[in-house]
Amino acid sequence: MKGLMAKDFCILLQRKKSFIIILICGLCMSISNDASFFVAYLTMIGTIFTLSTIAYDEFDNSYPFLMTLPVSRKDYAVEKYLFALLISISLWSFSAIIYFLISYFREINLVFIEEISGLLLVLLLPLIVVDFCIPINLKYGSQNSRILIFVLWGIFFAIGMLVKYFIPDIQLPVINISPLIISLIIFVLAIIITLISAMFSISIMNKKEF
Amino acid sequence: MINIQNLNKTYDKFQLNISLDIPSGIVSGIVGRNGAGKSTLIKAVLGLIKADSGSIKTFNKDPLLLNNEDKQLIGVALADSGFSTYLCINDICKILRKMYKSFNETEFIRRCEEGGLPLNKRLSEFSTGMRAKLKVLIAITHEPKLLILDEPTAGLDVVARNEVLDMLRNYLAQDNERTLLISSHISSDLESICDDIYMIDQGQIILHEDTDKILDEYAILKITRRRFEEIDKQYIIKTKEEDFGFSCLTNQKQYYCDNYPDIIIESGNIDDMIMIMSEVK
Repeated sequence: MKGLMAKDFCILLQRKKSFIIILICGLCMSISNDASFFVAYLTMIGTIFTLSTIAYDEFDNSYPFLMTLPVSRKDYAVEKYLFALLISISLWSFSAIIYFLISYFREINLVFIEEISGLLLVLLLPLIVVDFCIPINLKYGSQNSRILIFVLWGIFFAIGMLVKYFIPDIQLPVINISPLIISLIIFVLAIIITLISAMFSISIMNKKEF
Repeated sequence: MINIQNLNKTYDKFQLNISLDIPSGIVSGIVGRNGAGKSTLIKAVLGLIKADSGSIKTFNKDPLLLNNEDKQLIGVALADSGFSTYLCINDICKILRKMYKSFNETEFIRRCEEGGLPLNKRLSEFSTGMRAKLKVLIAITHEPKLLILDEPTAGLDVVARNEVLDMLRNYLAQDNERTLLISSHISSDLESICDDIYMIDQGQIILHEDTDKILDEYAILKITRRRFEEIDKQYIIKTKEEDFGFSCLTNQKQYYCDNYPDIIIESGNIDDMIMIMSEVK
């Protein structure tokens, strides 16, 4: 598992120049506009970068060789989640610190608990992307899954638009619970979804022939 | 070390049906034409594909059940697969250090430098020979008990081929218990390194023999049609029709040398044997 992490990290470093450019753009945007955007932006971009490691493994037909190394098919699938989470959480932490620093220098009064719950929800977005994209990438390959993911997002978007069009006045019940508790509940749900997604990915890897 | 009983794997227009046994400390070669089933066999031994039927045992286990500890004892180089070509040797070193308990980093770097492999260049910038050398070095530097190499010398010039074969000879010379399964379509590579050779064609083993026996006792008789009718055919394994008459494969070269001194007898040449055994025109 550590070896696979090292491999993915080395592959990720191959794209450090593009990442630095993205980081500078994000910093510029956060300084001139809304700093909270920077947290979502950097975390999301970082997650997409980690997903590209699957494409790198596929590109040189590395799968068969990787499976002969002292790692199991299960290790491979689980490592993709852990690596994505590790990078996402690191970038989220980094960008959250930048966010608080910018807010401090702009002399914006922040309610820490509310801000943290908001930022925790930002961390959900890459988690959803990871849970959704890893099994599809492993099952259909990175090329095909790009098209498939694009189509699926399109369908979700269309469903959302139709719901909004036909049922315009949705009245959500007012819940009197702390935002932090809501964030935590959502996170527990996200962890359950991640576990289910990981089980799918392991099953896909176990059935694969190289 | 490796035992295969009636392994069966079917693809659209190809069927692999093989039994073989490779004991510990033996160097076995698999030779055959392109598409004969060499890589499929190796993939089955490594658990990369699932057999339709039959049994495969690697370290007395189904390859699909090999755990990470078992895999620490196996070194592999595959013909069409390896580390991402975006990586460099220094990256690979970091990965192998974390993968293998007994990975000898100093030795790996020393051998890479000795072999003229740049440590900081991406693999995509390597020549075919450099990549082949690196694949073998990756496979052997954690000192595995079982080494499985699929076409390690394919596409290499004679100098690069010899360098790769020398690396393998050195690896084997260090411990008599080391086992090597190597596939190639270049028979001379196998002749120089293997204890025994499996000849494969269309997914079947068409010949299995000790290399020494092949070189000493096998021969190809070149006979005219008229002479073919007269000779004793009890030691002829396979016959192929030619323009001049027949090419006949025998495993009793001496018998024909002694009794038929007038016919042309060519000593064991695996390439010619493949041509006759696989009935290639």
